Parts: sequence; C-alpha cells; structure tokens
Amino acid sequence: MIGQGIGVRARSAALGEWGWAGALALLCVVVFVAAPSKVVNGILLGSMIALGAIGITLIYSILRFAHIAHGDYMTLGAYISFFLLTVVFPAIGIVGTGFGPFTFGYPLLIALPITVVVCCAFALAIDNSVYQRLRERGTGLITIAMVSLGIAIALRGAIQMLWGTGPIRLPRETRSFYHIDFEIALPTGGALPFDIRVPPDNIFLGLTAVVLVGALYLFLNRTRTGKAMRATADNIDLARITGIDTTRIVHWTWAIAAAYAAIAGTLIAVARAQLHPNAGWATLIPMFAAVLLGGIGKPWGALVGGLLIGVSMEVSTEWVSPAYKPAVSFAIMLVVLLVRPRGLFGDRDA
Amino acid sequence: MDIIYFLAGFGILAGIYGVFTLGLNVHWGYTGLFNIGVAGFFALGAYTAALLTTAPPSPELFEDFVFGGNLANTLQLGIDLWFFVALACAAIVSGVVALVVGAITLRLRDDYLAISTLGIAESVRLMFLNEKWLANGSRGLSDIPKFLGDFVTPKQYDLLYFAVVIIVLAALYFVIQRAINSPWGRVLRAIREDEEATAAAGKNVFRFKLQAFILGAAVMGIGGALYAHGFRYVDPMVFDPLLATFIVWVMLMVGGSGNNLGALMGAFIVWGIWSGTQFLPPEINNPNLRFFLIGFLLVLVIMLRPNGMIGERRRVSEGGT
Amino acid sequence: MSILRVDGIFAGYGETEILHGVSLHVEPGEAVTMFGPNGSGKSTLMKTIFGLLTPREGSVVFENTDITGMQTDRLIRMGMSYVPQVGNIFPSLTIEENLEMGAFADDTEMPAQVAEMYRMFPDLRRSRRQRAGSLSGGQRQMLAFARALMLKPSLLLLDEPSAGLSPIMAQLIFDRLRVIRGTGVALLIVEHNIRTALAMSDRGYVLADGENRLDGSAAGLLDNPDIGRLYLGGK
Repeated sequence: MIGQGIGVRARSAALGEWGWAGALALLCVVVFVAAPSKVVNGILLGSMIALGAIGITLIYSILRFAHIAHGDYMTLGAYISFFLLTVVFPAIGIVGTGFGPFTFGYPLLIALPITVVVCCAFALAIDNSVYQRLRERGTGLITIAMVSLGIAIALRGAIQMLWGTGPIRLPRETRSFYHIDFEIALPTGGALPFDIRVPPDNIFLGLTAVVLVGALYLFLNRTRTGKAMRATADNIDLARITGIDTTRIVHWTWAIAAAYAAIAGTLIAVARAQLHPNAGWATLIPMFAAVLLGGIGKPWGALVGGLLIGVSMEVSTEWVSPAYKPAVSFAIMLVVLLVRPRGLFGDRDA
Repeated sequence: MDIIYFLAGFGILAGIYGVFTLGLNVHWGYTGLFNIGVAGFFALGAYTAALLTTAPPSPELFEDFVFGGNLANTLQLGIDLWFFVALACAAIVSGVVALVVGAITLRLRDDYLAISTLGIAESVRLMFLNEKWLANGSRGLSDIPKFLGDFVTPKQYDLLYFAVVIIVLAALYFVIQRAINSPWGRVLRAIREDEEATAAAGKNVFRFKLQAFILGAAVMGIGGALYAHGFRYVDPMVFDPLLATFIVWVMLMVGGSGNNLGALMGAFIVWGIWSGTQFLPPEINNPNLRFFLIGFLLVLVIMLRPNGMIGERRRVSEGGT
Repeated sequence: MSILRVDGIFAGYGETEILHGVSLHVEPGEAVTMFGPNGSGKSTLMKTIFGLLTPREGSVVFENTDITGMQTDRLIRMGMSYVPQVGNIFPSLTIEENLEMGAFADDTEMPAQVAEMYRMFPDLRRSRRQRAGSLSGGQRQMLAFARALMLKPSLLLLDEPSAGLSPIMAQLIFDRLRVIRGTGVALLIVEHNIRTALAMSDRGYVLADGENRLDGSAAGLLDNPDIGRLYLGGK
C-alpha cells in the first residue's frame, strides 16, 4: 500500500468496520426519507444480488479465484425454470399464474427445487471436468478465472442456441402493488409523509433471501460440514492436514453457490417479468461490487454489500437514467477499492 | 478481382484484431494483467477518433450530438496528417482511462483488475448508448472521414486502407517488440513470473504494471481509431463483448500469449475461421453456435495447449506450486 | 518394534531434490528431536512422513504399515498427527470449533475428547467461544497441540513448536510437551531450541544437506563436543 493517502488510512482505522457500516446505514436512513419506495425495492432486489454475491464470495474463499461465469449460472437457472414452467409442467398438467398476491403461479414453487438440482449437477460436472484438472495441474488462479470466462461465454452461447437471443416474457398475471401510506410526526410539529409502493413479487424475493441466508448461517455455524468449510476457507493446507476432506468441501461450495445463483437468477427474471440471455452477465458487475464492498470471502459481507448495492442502484434512478445502474455499482466498487480496499468486513491482508 | 476486395476487407479487420491482440499481449502475455474489457478501450479509441474527425451533426440526418471535431476539414497538415492526430488522441484517451482505473486497482489483488476492466467496458458502452448529445446514442456516428480517401475510388479504398492497417500494425509490432526486449520489458516478465521476488529486488512493481497497462490500453485505443476510419461508422453495438473482447482473448490464447508473432498469427487465423464460417450452409451456420465455440475454444486451449501455437517456452499460465 | 521407520527417503519439490536418502525411526512412547542447519531438509522430511509430499525413493512405515504416499485422512485415523510451524490453527473459528475440526476424520468420541483437551489445557476452556485468531502466540500453540491430539494419536509430529515465542513461553510449551509425552504419545520434534528439546527427548538426529549426519541418545548428543560447538555454542 505504498503511497496511499495517509489521511485515508487513518480514517479507515478510526472508523472500523462497524463504523463504516454505521455511516452507510445512516446514509441509507437519509436516502430512505428522500425515496422510500426505491430504498425498499432496492433492498428486496439487492437481496438477489446478495444471493449471487454470496456464491461468488464462497468460491473465492475456498477456491481463491474470481468466478466470472457466476452471472451465466444465474441465467441458466432462470432458463431451466422457464423451460419447466412452459414446456415440462404444462405437459403433465401443472399450470397456473397469479398465486395469491403474486404474478407467478404455484408451479414456480415446484420448479425452483428442480432447477436447483439441475444447476448443482451442472456446476459439479464443470468442476469435475474442468476446474479440478486445472487445480491438480497447479494452474494459476488468474488462468482459472480466465477459464471461467470461457465457460461463461460458452454457456451463454448454448442458452442462445436453445432459446434464442431475444428477451422472453414469463407467464404471469398482473397484480397490483402493495401500497403503504404513513406519516411520521416530527418534533418540530410537522409531519414527514411516506408513500411506499412495493410489488408483491419483491416481497417474495426478500422472504426467499431471508430463508436462504438463515439456512446458510445455520449450515456454516451449526453443522460439521459447514464448520469444515469455514476452516477450509481459513487455511486449506491446514484443513487437509487436519483430515478434512477438502474435495467434498469444494463440492459443497459449488453446490451452494450454484443453488443460490439458480434461485436468484430465476427470481430476478420473475421480478423483471422477462428472461434475457444477457441478464446474468449484466448482474456480474453489481455482484462483484457487492463482494468487494463486503470484503472478499465474507458471506455476511456479501449480504450487506448486496443490499447496499441494490439500494444504491435503485436510488440512483432518482438522478440518473436507470440504464446506468451497472455503472453506478461499478462506481461504488471503484470508490471502495480507493478508500477501503479490503471492504467493510474484510481481513487486513486481503 | 472481387476476391481481392474481399480479402482486403478481411485483412483490414484481421489487422485491427492484430492490434488488439498486441495490446492484450502487453497486458496478459508479458505482464500477467487480466483485462476482460478490451471492448472499453476499443470503444474509447474508436469514438475519440470519430468525434474528432467527423463533421458536426447534420440536421438532415436527424443527428443531435453536440461535438464533431471536423479535423479532416479543418486540419490541413500536408496529406491527411489529421489521421495521425486522431490515432494519437485515441491512444491518449484510452491511456488516461487506463491510468485512472489502473492507479486504483493495480495495487490490489490481480483479479480486481479483471472486474474493473469489465466495469470500464460496460460503463463506456452505456455512456455512448445513453448520452445522445455525446455521440448520437444508439444510432451511432456515420460518415467518419476516410484517410487518403481523395486519392482512390471508393472501391479501392479498402485496398489502400488494408495497406495503412498493415503499416500501423507493423509499426506497433516493432515498437512493442523493442519495449519488451528492453530492460523495462524484462522487468514486466519478471513481475509476471514472480511478483514478490521482483518487488524484493527493489522494483516498483505497481509503477511497471501501471505503465504496461497504459501502454496496452493505448495500443487498443489505436486499434479502435483504425476501426473507425476503416468502416466509417461506429455505434455501441460494435463494442459487444463477444466480438470486441472475448474473440481477442481466443486469438491471443490460440496464437500463444507472451509472443507477439503468435498473437498476430492468432488474430489472422481465428478471424479467418470466423469469417470462413459465414460460407457454411445455413443449417450449421448458427451465430449462437459460434458464440458457444468461442468460449469452448478458450477453455480448450487453456486446458490442452496453455502456450498456444507458438507461445513463449516459459510457463505462462501454469503459476504457483 | 518401531512405531515409525523411515528408510532411505529421496524427496524434493519440482526439479530440486532436498532429501538424499534420509533414514530414522521412532519407538513407541519415545521423544525424538531432529535438528540441523537451515535448509537441511527437516521440514521436507516432516511433510514426506505425513504424506504431503511423495518421496521419489524410500519408504515410510507406520505401525507396520507402509504409508508411503498414503492419503492424509487415513494417516490421521491410523494415529498420526502433525502440527506445522505456522498457520496451525483456524483463526476465524472459535477455540471449540478448532477442536471439533481436529476430530473431523472420526467424531465418534468427540465430546469426551473435547472435555479431555480442556482438562489438559485449562486456558482453552476459558476462551472456548472466542475466535482462535484472538489468541496469543503461546495459546495458539497450545490450541494447535490440542487440535492435533483430538484423535488420540500414537505419534505426534511437531515442526518448530517454540518458534517465535519468548523463552518463558517456550519453556511452558516444552513443559506441556512433557505432559503430552507422559500420556504415552510418541513425539518427533524439529526444533531450533536444541538444548531444551534434547533435554526432554530420548534420542536425537542431526540432519545436514538432506542427509543423516549424526544420531544417538539425547544425553550423548548434548555431551558431544562437535554438537556443542556447532549447534549449542554461544547459548
């Protein structure tokens, strides 16, 4: 860190990780007052970015490389769900949209677990046939990242061969937004009005994320395999010496990352009401921004990072064109790298 | 005779891809910098040259961008010397963007650069797509002036421009070759092989990496400018990652990273195969199949022939123990 | 009958050969110290014994089984355990989780063994829910021992257990090793702190340039004038 501004370093030291998180939270409150709907929807959409980012950060922590194909794993998940919902399920009589307040039907709830299984199998097959061989050969980590770029391209090409290059509409039923109106009385005597509009689908996204993040917490802290995964992330050589089956840990890592990517990819498509072969690739920059913001290899950092990036992207549309959402997340990433390169919760030496 | 014009058209693009692979070779082949945003520097170079040299917007064409440098008409330095001003400015703009992003990311982990270059490419594309006042948005810039266009018929322009591209490519090749074989270039390769040992030997690794990043980006900017004056039309679709970044990686890896001649061979061979597939019968001539094959080829080359056809004999991609 | 017998090991990394035919043996319940100048191949030998490095020639026999090139988790279940010099704990896991990881290969007796380790290292019990990364150097070493002892090994390999510790802390470490040895575990120790290590050992080996240079009883080595001049002098 030669030549980095001393003032910057002194400030990061003074604030500490929770200090930074607190400052950002305060900022969020201010922004919430200004654009409450966008903050709420930003959190809900950000939870999907977070699910993807958690996968990337887990792969980082165990396999130590940047998984550039992660966005396209999400796309794969979305298209598999779509295939189930529009081809397989109708053939066996499972059809329907507009389940409760949601635009999608109950078949989605059946499709998701199947999609998860298919995507896990795909991720494990790729690891088995590609990444594992490169690891055994001692290939450099950047070269492995490049291979993941190749897989990203090939996967998107394959998806386009099967389903075409254009966007596809998902079967859905129009539903009205949840509408929350309230006022907060100010001590000065006035009142601060809030008017929040949330599509019910976004609520479903948020609840799914809560369940999945909770499950991951229990897995990492309560199960033997989960603890061994954290141990392997700490020090893979010591994990081997200790007798931990690191190959199995690698498989678990891929399975969790692929499962969360598949669900996030599908639900993002549901929230946008359309599929696009480019959707996952376009989410790559926000996801990596979330990973770096939270600190590489830190699942809870990726969660916080994903939510913050999601909110920033939504709120930015108050001032700039929505087309710039990926650029906004990239700008945040550059600021993080400039001010606090190890991210909010990252280790000092990362 | 038509075959000659066809070959010239092919050669122009292959030569421009050669410029990109040379730039990428400075990044990856010699310094080990993972740049997956070639498209960003390509676009910056192409738009810089185009905006500097085209005439201001014409109301008849419903163009509503603000700035057209019109250098081709205002800068009468001998015979079309504005062209070299345009190339130089393209190199400078790409280089400056590389300086800013490199200064932030090159001190950090290697893969931060990859994500950042991806971010540059996407942000640049979004900017040119959405800021209509800047470069006419999705409708792009047309009528970009020809270099030495007054001396040939429109049909012959491709032949002439092919020669121009080859001359520029050769010049860049010799400049890069000299730089790489200088003491400066040896430090770059030392960084690629063992960054810590190079730093321990007292070299400011960050500074060398930044210089190499700027050099490679500037070369890519020149490639973009060459594209603009060769095809005389640019729009944001040109800078789609597949044909502006991914294929360049395949060219470099197939030809052999760490070897400039290999990089050029890769560009011509891969572009030859790519162009050749358009003559395939329509049943198997599927653009998405080609998309798939680009990725598949990248994986395959790294797995089976990590040094490409004529890469350096050193370990280029087999790092660590 | 030896618990460990290393015979004519040739090993190295890539094209560099570091060990040129090293042999040694450890008897059940015995403490053996191995020392020698930097680069003599001590750590390489440890890694070869523990199967982290496959020898080009020679064999490693543990409890009458040829274990040359055997998978680490099988070795652990057979009763061998290894404490590397650095990075020998999981810093982001709690103390208790570190111990649980020590029993990963076979957790049938885990709760009892965790309790046993807390009895042996009372300091660890006090901070059991703390992250291991927050421990001091000496405490980390204790935790590393405890982790390695979770599966009741019959042989413990220790690479420089007192490296980087203050003399007082180093003394505490060796006291603890004496206690461990008292439970019947055989120890093979690589150590710079030769005098202290030999004082608690039965025998010692001197390695130089990847070959056996000298061996003998601990007392004999301590009295050997050459050893005294080369390795113990100045202290």
